[in-house]
Amino acid sequence: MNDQQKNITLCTVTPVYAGQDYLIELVARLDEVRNDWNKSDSPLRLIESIFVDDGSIDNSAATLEDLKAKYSWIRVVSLSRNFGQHAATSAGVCHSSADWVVTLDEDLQHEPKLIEELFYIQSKTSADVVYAKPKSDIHGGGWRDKSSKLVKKVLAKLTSTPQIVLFSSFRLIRGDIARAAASSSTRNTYFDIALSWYTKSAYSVRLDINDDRYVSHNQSGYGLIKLINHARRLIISSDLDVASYGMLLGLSSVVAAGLLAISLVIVKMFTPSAIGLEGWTSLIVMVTFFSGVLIALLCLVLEYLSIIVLNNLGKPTFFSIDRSADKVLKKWFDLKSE
Amino acid sequence: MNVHSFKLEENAAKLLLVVGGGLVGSAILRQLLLSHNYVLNTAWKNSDWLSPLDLINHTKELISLNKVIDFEIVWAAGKGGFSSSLEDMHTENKFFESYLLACSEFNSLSIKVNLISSAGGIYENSELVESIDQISPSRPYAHSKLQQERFLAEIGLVSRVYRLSSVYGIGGTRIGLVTNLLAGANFRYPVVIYANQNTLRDYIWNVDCAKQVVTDIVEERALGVRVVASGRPTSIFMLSNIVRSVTGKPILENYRPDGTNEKNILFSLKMLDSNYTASSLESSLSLINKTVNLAGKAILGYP
Repeated sequence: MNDQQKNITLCTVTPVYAGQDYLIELVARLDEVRNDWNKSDSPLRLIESIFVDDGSIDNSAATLEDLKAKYSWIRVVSLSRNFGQHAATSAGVCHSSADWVVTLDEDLQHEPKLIEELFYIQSKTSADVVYAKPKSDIHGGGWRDKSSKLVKKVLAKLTSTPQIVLFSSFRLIRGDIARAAASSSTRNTYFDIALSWYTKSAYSVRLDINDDRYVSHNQSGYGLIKLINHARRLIISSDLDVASYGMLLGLSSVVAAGLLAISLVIVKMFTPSAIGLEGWTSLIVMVTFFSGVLIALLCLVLEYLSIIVLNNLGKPTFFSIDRSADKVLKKWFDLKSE
Repeated sequence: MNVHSFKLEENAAKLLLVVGGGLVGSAILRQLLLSHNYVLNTAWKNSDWLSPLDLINHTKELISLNKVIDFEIVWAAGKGGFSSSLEDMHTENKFFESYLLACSEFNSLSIKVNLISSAGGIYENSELVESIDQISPSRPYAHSKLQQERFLAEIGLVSRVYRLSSVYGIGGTRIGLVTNLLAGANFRYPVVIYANQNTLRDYIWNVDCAKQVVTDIVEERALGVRVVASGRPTSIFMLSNIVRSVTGKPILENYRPDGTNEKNILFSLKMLDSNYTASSLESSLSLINKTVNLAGKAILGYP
């Protein structure tokens, strides 16, 4: 098959928890996008939509079964209990086989028609992950938006993962990377952190996204405790550089103690009267020196622990990828814009 | 070639012959022994694929001694594998055709054949298989399997054909990728993988396949061609992660992508056999890992 004829396959993954009011409409919109692509000269093909029933608390399971019977490209994965959005996303991704995966929320917050815009950004940037960010605050500018932004900004500074500030549940991910990240993740791994283990090539695009369920009905799948757990998982999964900074501080203290000791000896030799109180100089030097040693040793232990934890969380040594099919999409979008 | 014969019940008028003791054949044998243990004759061996007459005579003897009116064969034998030459497959096919032609001439017997075929070979050049007729073989092995399927239809033998996806498990003399990964993790040797990390396949456990074949025979389920796959695509990387998780040990992987071995081979859910129940990779690999640990390096053929 030559480049012009090759199709780029897509699979959507949607974790479902309380989506009975939205699923039928969501699938109808996905169907519309699917048909539009099939009829046009687009190389994009939506080959399947995977819905993960994450211990849903309403009639979502029955609705999904009806949708599965009606549409041959709908697939349902039922989890034995509620495992959480990230675990459900991983489960869905692990059942995918397409070139690209798009994750969507159940509640029509993420309009299927916007998927093509994610692909457009991908074609321009050759990114492996494209996140959709809202043009305005997604939850009406309340405490959720502010706290979420703050935690992400702080972590982006403290870790070697600046793409943390881009994270969103509406994402386009290269299929191989999505599956690798999903299969590496454990129950404490934040899915997007797992993605960052495989690629640093992540971009974002601003789209019209609003959580109507939250803004209008003040309903959300996340209470305060769940949000705190969410943040906890994000912190635990991240490779915090605190240990490195701490080690630097500790070693700096040791060196400073040495230099201080030398300078104080010189002062004592040439101007003994400059040091009035007996004993404080050696005390200061010893405190500085041993504090530095203790901090350095603790941070060394922290580094080892961090390596073990990240290993257990699934961080890989290496991963190979083939991006040769990207030119098909690039060519199509270039032609479309002419 | 190993041949085992069974009756499903002591006084039944039906004879079941299982030809083959490899990955799938041995699993079918174990399943039969577990669920229906009236064994007539075990381990009739013939390592020479040149004399179908021996097997024909053996079969005639069994039929006349046991006064059967129903005769069912499970053909899970294979001289060749994926990398077999045309000549190897020619020998195998000649034997297969001679034997079955002779069987078709047994008078007043109702005969059925259950042929273990290969979806991985027959659909090798199709990345996503959406219909049973979307065949695209390239190797002598796959062409040979198709020839066997067609031969059954030509001589009018009633049959079930099982086109199996990528089978893993313990059994036979060949060590497959999954067992190799488990052994490599446990015994710390590098595993050579002739595909790339992201190659997607549909892996099915030989134990699950055997359960389906035996249940189809016992319950006299529908005839015809079926594709047996789990519907869960898994990449080599994902497989390695499961092996690491199950063994708790690292794997020394050596990737050597090799032409057609790199291709994805996946199956649309709508065309899969609904009677097939797939165990999860995690649970089946845990069980296989225990066997690998118990068997030790003997599983690799070392003393």
